[in-house]
Amino acid sequence: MKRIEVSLEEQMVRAYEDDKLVYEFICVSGDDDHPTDQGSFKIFRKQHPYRSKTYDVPMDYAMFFTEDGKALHQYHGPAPLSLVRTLKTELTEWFGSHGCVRLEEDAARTLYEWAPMGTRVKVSSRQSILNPGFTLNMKRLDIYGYGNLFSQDFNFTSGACRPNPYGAAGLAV
Amino acid sequence: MGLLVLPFNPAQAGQPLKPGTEVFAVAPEKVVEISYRTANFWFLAHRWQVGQHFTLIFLKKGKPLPERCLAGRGFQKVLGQLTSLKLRQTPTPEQAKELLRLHPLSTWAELVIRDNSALEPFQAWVRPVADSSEEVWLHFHDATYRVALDHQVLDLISRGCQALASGRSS
Repeated sequence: MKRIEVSLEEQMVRAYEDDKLVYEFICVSGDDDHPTDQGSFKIFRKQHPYRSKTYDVPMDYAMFFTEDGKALHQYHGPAPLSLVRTLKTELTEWFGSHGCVRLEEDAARTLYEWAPMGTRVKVSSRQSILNPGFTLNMKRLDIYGYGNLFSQDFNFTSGACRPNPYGAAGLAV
Repeated sequence: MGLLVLPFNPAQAGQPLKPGTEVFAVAPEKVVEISYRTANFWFLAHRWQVGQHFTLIFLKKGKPLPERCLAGRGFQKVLGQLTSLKLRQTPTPEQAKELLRLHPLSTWAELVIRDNSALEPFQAWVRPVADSSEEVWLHFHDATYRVALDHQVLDLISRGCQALASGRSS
């Protein structure tokens, strides 16, 4: 059985057939404001080429796995995806997508040709198991409303614990 | 002297898909509407929600009243084929340009498939391939493909409720 796994923490996509790894590609997923949904999904629509009217951008080799339009697809930006991925993981989430999983063209085409309709897509991140201290800081900041301190603490801890894709609201429980 | 090498391989850019790959596919159980429109008739299959039966509506040129019925087994074949369009061949840009010059899109049938997601519907133009009864030309988003589609499916659509109805009245 074929399946695709997206690791938000590693910014990697892996394709498995009968538990054997067959492909491994770098990717760029959603930013903090538009996180890629985590969970288990199925590819329910494939289309190449595809152009999003919402964002007026191409999304070639699109394989949609959420009903609001999250897809694995080709990255069409001017800078190499490897650079964008590095900037996203090392510098700022600003370089993330609007929730889709972007792939280099060869990777997007290979995966599109390999994965049939109904292929399971698992999106996960170890970020859900957060450092407790990090969570506590976020709670304290939320309670006292020290919004200006948020980014300082955030940067301080980001080396060990990258931002939760659900953002502060998801932690303040 | 420094030399900047950009990580770009023009030979790989825009490589065509492998034959057999679906250029468009959608899970049939998620489809809520199919529209197939030619110069002479318009076929519309619609349901408000997934899980319901499709209602079929046929409008034919010269017939003032539409034909209406509930979808039956014949429609399942139509639904199955239109929701999985597999590539047979990608024509060269020159071949596609010539095809469109000889047969402008205004002479092709318009196919629209809407599913229950928030995505925009799939909109494409269809023209039967003259030398094959199992293939059609498909054009969407400036791409032209030769895809597998039995002409019997188009024939079923053109025959209306007689071929696609369930036998029950709508």
